[in-house]
Amino acid sequence: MKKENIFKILMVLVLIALIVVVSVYIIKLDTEEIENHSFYQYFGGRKIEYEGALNITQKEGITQLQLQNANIQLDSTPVYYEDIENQVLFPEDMALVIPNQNGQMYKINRFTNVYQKDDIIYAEYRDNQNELTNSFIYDGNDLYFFIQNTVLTVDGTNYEIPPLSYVIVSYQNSVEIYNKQQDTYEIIPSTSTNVTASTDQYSINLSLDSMKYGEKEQLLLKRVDTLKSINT
Amino acid sequence: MLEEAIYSISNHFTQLIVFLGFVLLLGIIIYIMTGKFDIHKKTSMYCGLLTGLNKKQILALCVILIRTFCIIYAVTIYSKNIGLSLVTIFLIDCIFILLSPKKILFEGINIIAQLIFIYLINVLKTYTLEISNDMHVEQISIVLSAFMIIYTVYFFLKNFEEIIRKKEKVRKNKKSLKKKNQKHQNTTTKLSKNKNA
Repeated sequence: MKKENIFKILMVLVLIALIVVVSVYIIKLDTEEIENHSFYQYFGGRKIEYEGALNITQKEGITQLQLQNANIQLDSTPVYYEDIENQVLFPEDMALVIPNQNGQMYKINRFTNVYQKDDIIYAEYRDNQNELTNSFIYDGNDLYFFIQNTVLTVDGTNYEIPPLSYVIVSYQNSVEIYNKQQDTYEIIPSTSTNVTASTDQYSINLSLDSMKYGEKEQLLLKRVDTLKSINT
Repeated sequence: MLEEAIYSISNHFTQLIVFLGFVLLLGIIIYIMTGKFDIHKKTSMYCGLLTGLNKKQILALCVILIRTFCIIYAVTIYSKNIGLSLVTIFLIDCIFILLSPKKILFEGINIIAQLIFIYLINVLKTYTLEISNDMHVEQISIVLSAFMIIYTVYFFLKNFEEIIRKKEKVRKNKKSLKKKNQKHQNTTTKLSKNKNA
């Protein structure tokens, strides 16, 4: 075989080797490994706890939690750390809604950790850290995650929602409230089309997925994947 | 289907304009270099390289030029819809394989590897633009893009050399054929002279 042909073949082999290495790297970008923590989630009012090393992967639009004995498919329900106070992980892309900035919405990437430190809420994704103020997080469907004290009104009854709690509103069906401070989960049957959450600066109609701030009103974008990432 | 195809092509309109500009520039440069033939100047070498090519070789030369441009463009300029670029590169490479069918296995593997690599670079660029502006990922995509450019240029020059060498082989074969014919003619005339004598 001529020397030049050998060199050509070597170049192609190097390319193939690089393809393998880069493919593995890209797969790892879609994987989050969290070791030696205790976690929990609430599903339908029931607390599910996880222990040990966790592996969360995202493949073909499906986020899976790989435990020792089982694989659990995750939705946008936040995963709370049991052993770290006031910290939560989002398994899916979420929208950060900032009413003060003309209702601007940004994407919070899946595998972002949101935590409270010295009364300030931060969102951390890999090396990017962002401070969250006067805003809330929305999954594009029915889940609203609050980072400040909010008052939820359901059929005329007010509920205090502390930071790092979330609410799931099924239209004309029920309202589910997870209170982080008290670690309680409440399911309220409601056919109301006017379930609202409000602060002194804005109010949200959780039934219709719309927001009101000042004199402006807007619908919330459902396609979270089309939003610009808060980390870019 | 047709509407989607037209929409994809319209997204690559800039690429077409840049390619036309590149070809025009290349044409002007080659014209300036080879316009006035002077055997004492180095430009006569370029004239020598490009003259005497048959249609197949000219086509192969065009194909490798377009392929190199398309790959470098796909790797340097980010496009969310990389599909059309990959299909274009694949079709161009298929034409190149048809022109040199002996190397189908090697070229086939080379094409597939290049297409996959370009796609992976695009995935990394999409990650930095849409998900997280991670410095490590950006640096890796730059290094991989640089490698792809060097790889493409290497194979362009290699294929160019092979095309030119074929021309030289054809010329040499023609020369040796002529010599053989002359020798044959000389021996037949000698034989006929001896017979007459």
